[in-house]
Amino acid sequence: MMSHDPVQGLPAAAFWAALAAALLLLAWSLRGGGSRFARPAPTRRFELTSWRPLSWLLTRRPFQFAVQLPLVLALFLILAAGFFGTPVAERNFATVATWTIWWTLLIVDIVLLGRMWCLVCPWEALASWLRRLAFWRRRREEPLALELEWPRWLRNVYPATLLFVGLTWLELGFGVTRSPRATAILGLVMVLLAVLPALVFERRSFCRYGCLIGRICGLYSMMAPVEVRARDREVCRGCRTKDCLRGNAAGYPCPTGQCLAAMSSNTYCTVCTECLKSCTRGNVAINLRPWGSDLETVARPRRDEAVLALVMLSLTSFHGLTMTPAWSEALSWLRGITGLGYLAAFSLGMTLVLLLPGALHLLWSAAVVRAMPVGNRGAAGAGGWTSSGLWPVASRYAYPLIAVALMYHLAHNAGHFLLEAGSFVPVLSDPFGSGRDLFGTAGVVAAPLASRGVIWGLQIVLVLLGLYWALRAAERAHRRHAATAAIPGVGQRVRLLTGAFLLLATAWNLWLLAQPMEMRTGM
Amino acid sequence: MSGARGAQTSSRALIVATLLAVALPAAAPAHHILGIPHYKYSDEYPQIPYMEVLAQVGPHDLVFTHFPGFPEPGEAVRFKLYIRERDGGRVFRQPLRIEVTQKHFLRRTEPVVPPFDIRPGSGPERNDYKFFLTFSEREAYELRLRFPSGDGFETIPFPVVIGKTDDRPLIFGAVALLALAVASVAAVKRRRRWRRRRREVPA
Ligand code: SF4
Ligand code: SF4
Ligand code: SF4
Repeated sequence: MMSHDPVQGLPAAAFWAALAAALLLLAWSLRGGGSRFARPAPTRRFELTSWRPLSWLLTRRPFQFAVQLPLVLALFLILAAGFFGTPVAERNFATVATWTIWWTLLIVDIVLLGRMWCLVCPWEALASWLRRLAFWRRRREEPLALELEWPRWLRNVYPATLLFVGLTWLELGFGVTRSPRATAILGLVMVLLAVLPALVFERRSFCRYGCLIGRICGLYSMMAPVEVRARDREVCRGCRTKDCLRGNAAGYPCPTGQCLAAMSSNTYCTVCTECLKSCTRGNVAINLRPWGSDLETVARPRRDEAVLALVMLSLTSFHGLTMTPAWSEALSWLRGITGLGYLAAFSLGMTLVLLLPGALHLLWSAAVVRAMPVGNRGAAGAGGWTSSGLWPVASRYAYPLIAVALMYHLAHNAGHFLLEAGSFVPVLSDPFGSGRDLFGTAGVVAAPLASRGVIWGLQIVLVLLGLYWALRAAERAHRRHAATAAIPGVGQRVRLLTGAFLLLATAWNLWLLAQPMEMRTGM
Repeated sequence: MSGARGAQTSSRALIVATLLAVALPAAAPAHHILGIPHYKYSDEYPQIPYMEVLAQVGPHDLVFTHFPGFPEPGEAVRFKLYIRERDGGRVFRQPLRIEVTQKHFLRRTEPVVPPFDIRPGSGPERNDYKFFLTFSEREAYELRLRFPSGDGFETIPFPVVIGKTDDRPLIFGAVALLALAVASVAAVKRRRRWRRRRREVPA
């Protein structure tokens, strides 16, 4: 049933209550010079692979193939349904499976399991199978791999950031989520993007640098409660072969060039489980850990990752914004004053929304630099890195925003999922929307999975959790900054400034959730 | 596209009432289009499929159908619209305005004919709005109905897809590109192996 009253957002009372709670959270974080949030970075771990059956399973060579195969089949079904099925988005497996189910669950997956998507990724599966001409066998040489070096100037996450912006432009400007055909074309383009570089470049350079999904997952998974790590770094120190990085007869080299001896973040690990197979000392573990662990231990912030964090913050908000009546009104106003056509006005609006958080963050960072204790500005930290300049400060304080972006993303997607996921039931029975009824459920119109009250409550809790983790990460960033810049502490003004920026981002996200929201297939 | 024209076509196919019965409860907020073609299994089985889209605006249920379910370019498409109040079933009979837009792939949506008004048929038993359109291009179109809602109006989009886009060239192109890449990489690797072997053979 099509209802054209946009879905009501958070009621005003809930919005104000959530905002008050966010304010209290900030005040609480500031008490005692941030000491409440200053406990040492959590080091507690529970090793999942200490459970023998799991570690046995993960070290079998066919394991990854077995978990990838269903996803590859689903990808083929998506391509077939998108190209040959009904063009009505709600009745086509391609659009419902991609945007309502996968895109939403991807974020849930990151929050709960980290980068498990990459373990089962069908694009990577096709790339690896073709490159190796084997489904799981370890071949001494990969027969279809040229192993050229990935261009030096592309060794950053900017290609993935650009792809992410491009995809969002296509998605929102042209309504790709509402077109099964466009969805299938995107799926096919992703196959080409993953396979062609895998044939030409060394390891899985596309996964490391170019994949927008991988980079989004990578940055978000710094929050995740699951990690692949060396069980004991001391053992790695004495290891000369570095089989995890170089590979051996039991396992391929790490596809993204990680060496467990030095790996301290989830960002570039695709959880392919090869290192579990190749490490001859059995020194690789998959651990459960506290949420947000990597965010609290960022030692050397990278500018490209900071830019991606800001882009993610902007684009997740932009997604939400475009579904509100406020966006339509703003776009009409923009067209009115500029005389631009729809597409040009949309692109201009998107550029402005994209640049605004970055510009604000830079301004804010300039204020933070000024608020740093006098006399130490520009001090060189260990290794000669000037840590108190604008760019290093802006980069360092961009990481906590990942928590705000991720939890808003999850809150937004949770709303869509709980309201729309029921549409998966009929499309499973009639994937092409051609009138078939394979399982007798093609005519089912499922009710929302939760009431609006439950969804609102969940959204508020998620957004506040995002702020909580961001404030914790910011406090860790203050302390690291003080250590690298050789200052006794950053001071309460800096704390207040960074906290206020996180609060502003949270308030904006809450405001978005309070807007009437147009539903569509997927995010 | 030619303009709307009235015509007599007996509406032999029934609207599948069960879909209305299982439709989301009134409070359900999600935006769903049940745009599946429905088959009427009757004496004349198999029937040509209808496309049916159900919509809900305020207190009204809208049932929009077009026949045939998969129209081709140049084929007259019969559209019907039934509107009634969800509680009480009172039929809505005011004139309504329709705009037809074309949804080009990767281009913006644009109107293809000036908006026109539709009226329900006369007579007590005629409560459906009926009109015909002929589309010349193989494309995705949208019929946008302007419907009173609260103090103002809402625009309700009904999808109409004319012809089936032939994506085989695109798929063959992608497969050919992959095959070409595989062949090139295999050739380069063969050459590398050959060179290596030559270097290894003592002069
Ligand atoms: S980085 Fe991208 S292509 Fe690689 S495994 Fe992850 S999602 Fe797949
Ligand atoms: S994880 Fe294993 S192979 Fe890698 S450095 Fe440590 S001991 Fe060596
Ligand atoms: S080899 Fe190990 S470190 Fe490298 S991507 Fe795979 S699981 Fe991660």
